[in-house]
Amino acid sequence: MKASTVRRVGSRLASLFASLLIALSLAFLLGRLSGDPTATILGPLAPPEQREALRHELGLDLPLVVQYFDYLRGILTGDLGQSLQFYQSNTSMIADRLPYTLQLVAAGMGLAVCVGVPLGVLAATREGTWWDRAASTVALLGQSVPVFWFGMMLVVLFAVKLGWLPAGQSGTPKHLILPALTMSVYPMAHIARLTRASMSEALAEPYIDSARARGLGNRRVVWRHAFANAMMPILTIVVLQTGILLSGAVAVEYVYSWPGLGQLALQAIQFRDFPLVQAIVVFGALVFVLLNLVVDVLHSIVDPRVR
Amino acid sequence: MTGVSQLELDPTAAGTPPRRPGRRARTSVFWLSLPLAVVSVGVFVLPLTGLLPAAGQDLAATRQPPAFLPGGTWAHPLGTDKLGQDVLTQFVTAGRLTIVIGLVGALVAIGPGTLLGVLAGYFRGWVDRVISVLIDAQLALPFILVALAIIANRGSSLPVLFLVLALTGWAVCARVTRSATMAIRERQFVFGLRAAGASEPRIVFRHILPNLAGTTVALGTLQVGTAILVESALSFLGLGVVPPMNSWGSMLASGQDELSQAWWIAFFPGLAITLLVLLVNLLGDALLTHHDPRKARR
Amino acid sequence: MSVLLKADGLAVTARLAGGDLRLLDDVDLEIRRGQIVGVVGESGSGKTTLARCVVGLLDRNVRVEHGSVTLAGDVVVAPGVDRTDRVRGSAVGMVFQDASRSLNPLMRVRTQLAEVLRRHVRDITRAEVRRRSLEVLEQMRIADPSRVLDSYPHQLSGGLRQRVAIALAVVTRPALVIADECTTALDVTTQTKVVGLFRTLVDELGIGLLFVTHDLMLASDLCDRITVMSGGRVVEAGDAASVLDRPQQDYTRRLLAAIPSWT
Repeated sequence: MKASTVRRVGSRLASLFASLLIALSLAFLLGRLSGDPTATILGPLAPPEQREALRHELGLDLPLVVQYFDYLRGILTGDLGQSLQFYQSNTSMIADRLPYTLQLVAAGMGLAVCVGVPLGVLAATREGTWWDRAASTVALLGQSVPVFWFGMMLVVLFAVKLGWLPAGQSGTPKHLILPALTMSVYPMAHIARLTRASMSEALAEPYIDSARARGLGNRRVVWRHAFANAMMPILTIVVLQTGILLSGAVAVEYVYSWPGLGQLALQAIQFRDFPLVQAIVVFGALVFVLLNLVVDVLHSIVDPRVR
Repeated sequence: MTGVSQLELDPTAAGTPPRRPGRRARTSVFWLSLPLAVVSVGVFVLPLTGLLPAAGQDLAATRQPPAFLPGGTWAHPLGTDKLGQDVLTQFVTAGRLTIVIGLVGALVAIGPGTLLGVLAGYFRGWVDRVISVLIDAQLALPFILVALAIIANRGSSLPVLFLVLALTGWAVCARVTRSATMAIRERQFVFGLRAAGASEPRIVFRHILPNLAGTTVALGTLQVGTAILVESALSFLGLGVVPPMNSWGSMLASGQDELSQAWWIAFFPGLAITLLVLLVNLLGDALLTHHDPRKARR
Repeated sequence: MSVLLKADGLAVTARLAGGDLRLLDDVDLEIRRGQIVGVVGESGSGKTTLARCVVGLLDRNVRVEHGSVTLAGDVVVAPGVDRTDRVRGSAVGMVFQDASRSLNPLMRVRTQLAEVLRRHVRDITRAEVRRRSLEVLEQMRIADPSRVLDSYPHQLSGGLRQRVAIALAVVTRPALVIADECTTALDVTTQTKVVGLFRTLVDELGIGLLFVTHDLMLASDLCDRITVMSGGRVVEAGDAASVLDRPQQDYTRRLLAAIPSWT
C-alpha cells in the first residue's frame, strides 16, 4: 500500500469515528435529558427513599461524566443497558427483533435494486424519449407517495377486497410479500433516479464512444463500460438506504404489525422506555458507520484509482 | 464529446435565430405552480363558501361510501367515517393544516440551513470545519429514531413537530448552500468587490445571498414536500398532529383502523398528499435545473 | 493501389428543434491503401461529422440524405443504409481526440485489448490474445509491453495512453484507420512521436489513414493528400504539396495565413 493510501484510509476512519462519537454522545444526552426515569418506573406516588434506592441501583446518582464513560464502556462490550418496560437486556431484545427487520429489508431492498436499476438504465439509454419521461415520472411518484399509505392501500386491495394475501403478522413467505413491496417503494424510486443521472453522465464519456467505435455490442457498451463506471454512486445509495431502512422501518412495520425493530422502537417510545430508545438509536448509529465502511471497501474494489 | 461536437450542432452557427434559454423551464414552473396555488387557496376559501357539508356527527349515516360508489349519496361526496362525519369537510380543513405545516416546516429548515451553509462556504477555515462536522453528524444519526425520541421526550405538539422538521431539513440544505456559496465566492465579481474594498458583511448580504436566492427557493420548495411527508408519517404513528387538530396525516391514522370497512377515509388524504408532494417535487426540480450554480458557471 | 474508402456526394443533415441543419454537403473523398489523407478545417467545418459518419457514430437526429460511403467497393453508408456495424472496429479502426478519456478507467489495458480481439476474431485462444496484444504494443514502439498490459489507464503517462488508444484501434488489423484530432491534446514532443508512429504504421501495414485535424501544418507534414473543408463542404482537395504551395481557394489561404510561423 502506498503512503497516500494509508493516509487517506486513516483520515476516513478518523472522521467516521468522530461522527460515531458525536452520534453516541447525542444519544446519551437524549437519554439523560428525558427526566427522571424512576418516576416512570415506580409511578409518581412512590416514596422518595424507594426512588433513591432505585436511582442508586441504576447508577443515576453518579456524576454525569462517570455515567457517560460507563455508557461508552457498555457499548464497547455490547451492553446497551436494561429496558424499563420489559426488564430485559436491550441487546438481547434488539437481537431478537433484528432477524425480522433484516428479512424485510433484504426482500425490500432486493426488489428495489432489481426494478430500480433497470428502470434507471432504460431511462438513461433512451434519454429524452417517451420511455425516459415515463420511467422518470414513475420514479418521482415513488418519492412522493407516503409509503405507509401505499401499504395501506395494498392491504385494502390484496387482503380486504381480493383476499389473496394476509393483511399483517409474519411467518410464511406470503406474509412477506406486501411489507416487502411497500418497503421497496422509496429506495426503488431513489435508485432509479440516481441510476438515470449516473448512467447518463457515464454514457456521455469519451470512452463510451471509443468502445462503440471498436465495434463492441450495445449491451456490452451499456453494461460493461457505462454501468460499471456509473455503479459507485448506486452502490453507495443502496448500502446507505439499507442502513436507513434497518433503523427506520417504523411506519411500514406498524402498518403490517411486523415484529421488527421499528415496532420495538415504537413500543419503547409509547411507554417512555428511554434506555431502550437510546439502545436502538445507538444500534442505528453503529450500523450506519459500519455500512459507511462497507461503502469505502466496495469503492476500492470497484475503482482501481482509489486503491 | 457526445455525438457530433457541440459547435457543429450549434444552430446559431447556421444563422437560425438562437433559442431563448430557460423559456421552457419558466413555462413548466408556471404550469406546476398553478395547481398548487389553486389547492392552497381552495382549502382556505372553500369552508367560507358554505358549499361543504356541515361538520359534526351523524350517527344515522356512518361509514357511507363516496358518491360515485353504490350506496353513496351526493350529500357526502367523499363518504363519511364511523361517526358519520363528512370526509370531504374533514379533508378540506385537514388540508389547511397540512399546507401550513409544509410551508412553515420548510422555512424553519431552510433558514438555519442557508445561514450556516453561507457562513461555512464563505468564511471557510474553522467555521467551515465546525459546521461541516455538525452536518456530517446530523446525517450520520438514524434520524427517524432521534425524531421519535424527541417527541417521546417532549410530547406531541406543533412546536415539537417544527423542531423535528427543522432537524430533518437543515443539514441537506446547509450542504448544498455551502457548495453553492463556495462556487459564487470564486467568481470574478467577488474578487473585484474585495479588491475594491467592500466589507465582508456587505459582500455576503448584498452580493452572495441574492445570487443564492434561486437555489434557496428551489431547495425550499423540495423541503415543503419532505416536510409534508415527514409530518404525515409522524401523525400516522400518532406522534405528530393529534386530535382535536386534524391534518391529512392524522386522517390516515384514523383511517388505518377503518381500512376493512371504510377504506375511503384513508384513501383521499393519502392520494392528496401524493399528488401535492409530486407537484412540489416537479416544481423544485424545475427550479433547481433553472438555477443550478454548476450550470451557471458553464 | 486500389481505392479503400470512397465518399461520393455525401450529404448529412441534423434535425433540430429550430429546423434542419446541413452538416455535410456534397462531400467527395478517396483514400487508397498505404495513403494518408488529411481532412483539415476549423470547428464546425464538418470534418468530425465526416469521420463519425464512416463508422456510423452519428447522433440519433442526424441522417444521411444523399451520396454514399463505400469501403473496398462495398456500400457501408447511404440514405437508409447503415452497414457500419460490419466494419466498425474490424475493417475500420478509430482513434479519438482525448486518449486519456477514451480508455475505460476501470479496466486493465489487457482486458480492453482482449475484449476487442474476442469480439472480432472468431475462436481466438487465450495464448493468441496475449500474443497479439503484446505484438500490437510492440508495434506502437512501447518499451515494456507486458507492464503496460497489466496497467490501468491512470497508471500510464499521457503519451502511453495515446499509444494504447491507437493499439486498440489497430489490434484487429483494420484496413482503414480514422484519427479524429487525436494529437490535439498532446504536447509538441509527444505529438511529433505519435505522428511519426502513424507514418510507420501506414508504411509497415499498408493501411489507409484518414487524419482529421484543424492544424494545416501538421497535416502537411504527415499527409499525402489534403482535403480542406469549410461549412460542411469540400473547398479544396489535392496533393499535400500543391494545396500548401498553390492554394486555389481564399479559405485555404486564410487558414495558411493564420499559421504564425509559416511564411
